[in-house]
Amino acid sequence: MAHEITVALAGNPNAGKTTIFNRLTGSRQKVGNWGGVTVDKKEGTVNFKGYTIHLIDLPGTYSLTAYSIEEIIARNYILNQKPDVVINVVDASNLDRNLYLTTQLIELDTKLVLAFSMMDIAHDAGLIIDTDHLSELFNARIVPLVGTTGKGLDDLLQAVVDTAHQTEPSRRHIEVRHVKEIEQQLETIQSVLEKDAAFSATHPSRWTALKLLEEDPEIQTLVRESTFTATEALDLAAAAKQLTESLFDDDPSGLIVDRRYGFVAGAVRESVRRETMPRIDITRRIDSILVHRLLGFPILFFSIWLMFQLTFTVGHYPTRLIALGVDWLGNFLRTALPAGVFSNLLADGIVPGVGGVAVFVPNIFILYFIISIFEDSGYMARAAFIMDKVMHKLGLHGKSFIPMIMGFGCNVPAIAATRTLKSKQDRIITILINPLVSCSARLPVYILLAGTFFPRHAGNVIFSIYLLGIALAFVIGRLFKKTIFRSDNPPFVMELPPYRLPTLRGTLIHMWEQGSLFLKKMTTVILLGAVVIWFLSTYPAAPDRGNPPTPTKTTAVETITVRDSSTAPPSPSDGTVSNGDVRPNSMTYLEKIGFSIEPIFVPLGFPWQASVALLSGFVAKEIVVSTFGVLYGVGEEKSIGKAMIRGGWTPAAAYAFMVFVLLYTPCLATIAAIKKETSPTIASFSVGYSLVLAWIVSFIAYRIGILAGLG
Amino acid sequence: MTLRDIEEGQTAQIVRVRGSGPFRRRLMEMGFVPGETVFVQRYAPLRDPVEFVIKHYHVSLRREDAAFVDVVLPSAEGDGAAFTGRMGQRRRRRGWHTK
Repeated sequence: MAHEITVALAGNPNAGKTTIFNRLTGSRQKVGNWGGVTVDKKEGTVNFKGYTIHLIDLPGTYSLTAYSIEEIIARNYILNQKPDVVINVVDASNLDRNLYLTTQLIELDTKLVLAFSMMDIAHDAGLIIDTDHLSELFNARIVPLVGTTGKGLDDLLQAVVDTAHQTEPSRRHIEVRHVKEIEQQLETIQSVLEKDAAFSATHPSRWTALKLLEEDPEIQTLVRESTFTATEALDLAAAAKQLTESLFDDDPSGLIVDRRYGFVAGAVRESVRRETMPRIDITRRIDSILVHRLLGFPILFFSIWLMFQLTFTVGHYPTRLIALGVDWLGNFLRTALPAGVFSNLLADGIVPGVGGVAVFVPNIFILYFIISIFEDSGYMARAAFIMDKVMHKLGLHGKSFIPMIMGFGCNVPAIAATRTLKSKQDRIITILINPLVSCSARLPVYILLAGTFFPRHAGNVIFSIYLLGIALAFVIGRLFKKTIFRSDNPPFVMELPPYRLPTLRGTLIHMWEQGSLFLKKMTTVILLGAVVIWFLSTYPAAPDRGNPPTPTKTTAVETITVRDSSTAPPSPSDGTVSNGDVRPNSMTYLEKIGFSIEPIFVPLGFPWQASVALLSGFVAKEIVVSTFGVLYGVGEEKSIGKAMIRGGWTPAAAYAFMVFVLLYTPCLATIAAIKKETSPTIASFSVGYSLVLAWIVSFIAYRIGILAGLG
Repeated sequence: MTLRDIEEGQTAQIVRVRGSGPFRRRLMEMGFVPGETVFVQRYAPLRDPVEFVIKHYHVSLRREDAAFVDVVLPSAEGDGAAFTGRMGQRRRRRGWHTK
């Protein structure tokens, strides 16, 4: 390890951990997931004085119990991966609570460096911190850091290198002393655990004993499974509980928390002076407006409205540019390449497939940019605070509001964001209703259909689809809570962090991380989907593509639409715009499948192309548009619309189709995320219930549409 | 008396946290330990949850959860006022408290 040092960053949420991580690693970082779960795992490297320092950003936690997955991940990393040094990022302006985590990092018996972030804020708040004294009390180097300027980072790296080279004997061992009775029990349990030399060699015995006293379910299981001392140790812990309850009217975990806080309070008392009362508490001032009794809700809704305006109106310009580029590329490939399978695959499969999605990249990035600002500024917590009572009515947590908002961007990260919810039931319900929140991938479908069939009211029509999704999320969520998942709630304990001005750099990094996840999804899943769809919609067929339409096809469309809604204009057969590319007597695979399931959609007023598009939309909903493009043999959105009108779509059917796209089975990536977060059963349930719901609601919408004269 | 009953702008001292298991430990780990002083910063616009200041940071609890925290009001009014400042006193006079 001479020149390679592994360092884990631990700290409370909002302590400035991410800022420090970004400052240190710059662009040399990669984002992934912790094994099997979707909590972000960020890694990066720093080169410092000939050392290669690997940094791992642990999830932000207040404690290291088994309370949440983040806490388990953080402590398991430290215990099992044994990083050379742990940097504990501590918000210097709030030592009273931040140092609580530090007491537990000490228990893990790891080499520790304390990075005191926000020293400038602490100073402004009138705090004079004797870091030397604190350093002695916690037996760890303390490095003060100033705000977002990066001042002090070299000192931090130097401290890490020095600490990594400390040899075991030279380290003074410190620990929080607990109540006498607890200490006695700890010692007894420790000696029992140490009978198993192999187990205690890899698991610090005092820490394990503490966790047994705290009745930590993870560690109880671990002990039961991996040491023969389990029965004895667990019995002792149970006896200790009885003892403390009779003596102190409190369980060991309460006494332990109390002592840890006692240790922190003592340390802070000895080393922190409060020079002056803070002049103005900016956060309190801002909150008196943003969380105001009357203004709170209007401001919240305005913020969300603004978020959408920025995403979709500002995003329109780059989107147009990309759309033009994609069109140009498709045409270019068609003319430049010799006709054949390859040029077809490129010009008609890959380019429209991926291009049709690439046009929404600007929207996605802008949306994540704004969500990052919401999160980093501290407003997201206020949104949860304001919305909690409403969400609680659904049996959910105010924090469920955040994944729900994120669902408007993409359901995949939104489902990942449900990790912040502590109750499994809350999480499952939030996950199940999340796909009802219309993600941005569905927007292209709405834009196409609303723009074509409701040109004067496109905005309102799209808005009504969004509202419908939200309303159904509430209804279904409540239904699930009342029927399937009935349980008690964990306490709603949520920090309202001080407002901070988000840095452009931090926001951009955040945006890039989330946005590139979407890009990744696009280039892998969607490219594959586009190629599969292209294949299914090309074969078996004659090798000449880009061909004129055929009577067979037109008849098929007319039969369906006439049978169904009777107002379909006759499709042209002049060949300028084709309605598809079915050859006489031979249908493509996709069309065969589409035709075979088509009767299901007749009551909803969808032509057969719809069933094909919906099938391909299973891969990713944005593909619905490109499938229409392929099926109608046109690339540009406006021409797809024209072809659809010719193909017999009615406004009522178009609206019902939008409803169906809103509700029906989540896309492949979302299902994968659901499965990852919950179980295959829940994932299949999600698919099943949404299909049923989509059919029922679309049917109602279509019938109402016909009654309203839109048929 | 529990934390649920404390009005906006008032300060109380924690006597005991009831409940059990992870619920109770979580409350305590977030700073709700006996002896600690809590200031009631504000009620949410829909009167639930409630924002508290404890251990120099802001945290929100639902009223149903706050009911698990037994508190007493400090005997001397002065304590609270020094901690809350003028804003707290003004709020108190307006009396937005409901049960």
